[in-house]
Amino acid sequence: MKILRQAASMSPYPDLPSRTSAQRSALSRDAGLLRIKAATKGVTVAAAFGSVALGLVFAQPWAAQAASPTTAASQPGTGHHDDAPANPSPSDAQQQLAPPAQPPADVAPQAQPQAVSGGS
Amino acid sequence: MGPDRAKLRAAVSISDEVDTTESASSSPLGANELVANLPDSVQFRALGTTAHLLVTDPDRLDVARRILDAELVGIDAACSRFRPDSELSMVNRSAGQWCTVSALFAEALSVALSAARATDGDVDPCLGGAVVALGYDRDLAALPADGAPITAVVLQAGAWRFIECQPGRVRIPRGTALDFGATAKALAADRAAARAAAEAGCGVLVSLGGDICVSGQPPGGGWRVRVCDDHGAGPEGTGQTIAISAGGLATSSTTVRTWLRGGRSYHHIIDPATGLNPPTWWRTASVAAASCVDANSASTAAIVRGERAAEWLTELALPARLVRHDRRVVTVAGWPHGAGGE
Repeated sequence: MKILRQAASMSPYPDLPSRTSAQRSALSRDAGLLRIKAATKGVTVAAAFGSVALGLVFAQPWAAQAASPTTAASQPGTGHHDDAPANPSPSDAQQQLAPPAQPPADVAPQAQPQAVSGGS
Repeated sequence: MGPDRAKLRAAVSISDEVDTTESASSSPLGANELVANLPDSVQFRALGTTAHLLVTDPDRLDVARRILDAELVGIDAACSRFRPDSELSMVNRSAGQWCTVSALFAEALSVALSAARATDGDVDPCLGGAVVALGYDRDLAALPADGAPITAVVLQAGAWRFIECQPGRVRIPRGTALDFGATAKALAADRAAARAAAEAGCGVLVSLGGDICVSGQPPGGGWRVRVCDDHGAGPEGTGQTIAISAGGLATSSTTVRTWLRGGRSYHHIIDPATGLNPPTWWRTASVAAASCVDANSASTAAIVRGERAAEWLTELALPARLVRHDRRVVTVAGWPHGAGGE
């Protein structure tokens, strides 16, 4: 199995990283020794790789944007096509997925479903 | 404060999947009750899957439909991976260069990046190259029955952190390609449901391939939703029926959107750390959240995270139903235990 990776020379960012602890934590899965197991024609092969080059080129664009007045990300369901262009949040801090206002409720077995949620 | 492990364990319930043909929703209400209780609805093909729109006021179905149609057209033009004229295709072709984008595309990218941050990169918008390398290079319906064996994978884990965004324009790193497969449909559902409920003035449910968002005043008892492996199985599919009153509900499954390469089956959920399908710990993950985007991000990440997903979802207080490869069901964070058809 051939592994194609983003090379450092392919990055548009020339600067070396200046990582915060949060960035370091988030990148931990990408950096260091990465062991990939891939099955090829019934044979499992393992290949070890050095640091992912991308982890070495964290640049400054987010920091620069942090000072921008137009950094707030729009929220799903509230935007319109003719809104001012939204801008992704520059924050690299861990965000959280929000739980529902109330958990799903059980339904009597004889009740007819109105919709279906399944893989697609 | 660290998580209370005993509390987390208590929040996770494991049960046998007892849902059978008999316990599937084979006991419909009487005809009069159906007429009285079911809101009006319309179902049609969109975004390569099925769109389902329900409203509590049948007179407002046309209003809601117009809004949904507009959202679908917009999302398809902005985010389709299979349309060469989409904004996403244009941005991918221009990787390494700044591209002018619409507000909708910028919102879709913002949502995708938020999902990546919230899942520590398990939901990665930069898997466009990886999914093509695994053979999913055209609309699923156009894929051949089988193809040459996969001999290479693409690793770009973490590339999403280097996407640059400025008002009205974006730049992705050279050599990368975006794929909003985990968030774009859900975003469309969220946007359409919110706008439709506001403009139609009634309760609305939007389902795009089983990614569901509800908004407005729900019907009594909430919207009844069948949760199963494949949304195409319909209300009779093996699973569980639950009710939701607000927010989003999404299901990710390794059993659908699959294809063969070299006689081996692949599916559309990719672990960014390997560029391959993750080991199959769960066959299906269903999650309820405040929005469909959050629900779909969590359900996709659950498939990628495997065994660790139950604890992660519990910590986030995201009600979820996880079906293991052997069909045993695990429920967490307040998901009902299964009287509704299990």
